[in-house]
Amino acid sequence: MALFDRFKKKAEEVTDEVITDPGGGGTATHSQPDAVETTPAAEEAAPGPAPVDTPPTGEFRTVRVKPGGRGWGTGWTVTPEPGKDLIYSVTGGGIHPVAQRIADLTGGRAFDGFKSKAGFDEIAVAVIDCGGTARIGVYPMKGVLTVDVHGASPSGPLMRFITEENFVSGVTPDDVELVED
Amino acid sequence: MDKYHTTVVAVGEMASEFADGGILVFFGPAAPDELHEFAIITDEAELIGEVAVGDTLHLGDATFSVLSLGAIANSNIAELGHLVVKFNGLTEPELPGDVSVPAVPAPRVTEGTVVRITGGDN
Repeated sequence: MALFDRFKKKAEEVTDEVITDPGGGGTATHSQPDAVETTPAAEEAAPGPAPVDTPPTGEFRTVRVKPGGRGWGTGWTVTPEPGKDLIYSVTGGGIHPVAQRIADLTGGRAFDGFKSKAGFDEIAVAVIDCGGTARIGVYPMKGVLTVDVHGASPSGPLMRFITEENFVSGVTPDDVELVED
Repeated sequence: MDKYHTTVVAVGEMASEFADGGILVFFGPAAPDELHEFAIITDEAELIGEVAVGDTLHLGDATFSVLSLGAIANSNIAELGHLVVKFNGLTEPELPGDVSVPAVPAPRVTEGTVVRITGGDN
């Protein structure tokens, strides 16, 4: 994590080594005929949810988001619409894998709420990593479907806005699945 | 040396509602607008050292001992300038983002209040 990298560098005072290429580029050599490397058939995908073809631009699909093992809520379906297609990630470390998964499956646009601004009416669903007090109530309060990647239960002064219809928590990428028509 | 040092630049309208509930929610300047309503926004600041139990939280001149902190408290501060202080006196964190201090009334913070976290010995 970035914090600890900074820690380490201060302790060790590592200086970056710049490796220069002794060969230098430039002289064109006669390229050999392509030696085609045969890769093992069907390279194994990384463990996790199976990759899915993202729908063509402008076409949206529906996903069902269900609560994770220790999560709260019963889950619901999300379908982006034209003009309301942002998968709005308000999380540390940029766009969260859950937000990316929802975007990949639905055709919505993953969006980093800490980097850019968006209107609430453009948001199909918000993805937060709230420990349970602050962000957890804001998006339900604004009428935005909210996915929390931590298994938080409604708490804090805004908990009165949180319902099973607008909030689900403990969600991992495996808890997001395409709803076939 | 301070583990964390920043200054309040804005206080959201709903922040007092949270304070009445014994909670102060801080966010760094990159927080989207909708979080500004209830949060106390601080300057961009680096987390120099990991916060630990026994450290001291300074809000202006007031000081509070850190009694417990949740598993994501440090990464929240480092990545988002997001600090959730709960005046609940708990020695076990209630929620993973919490930094718990003694159960006293939350102090008033205003624009210009300096927020610091220092190591246990300071």
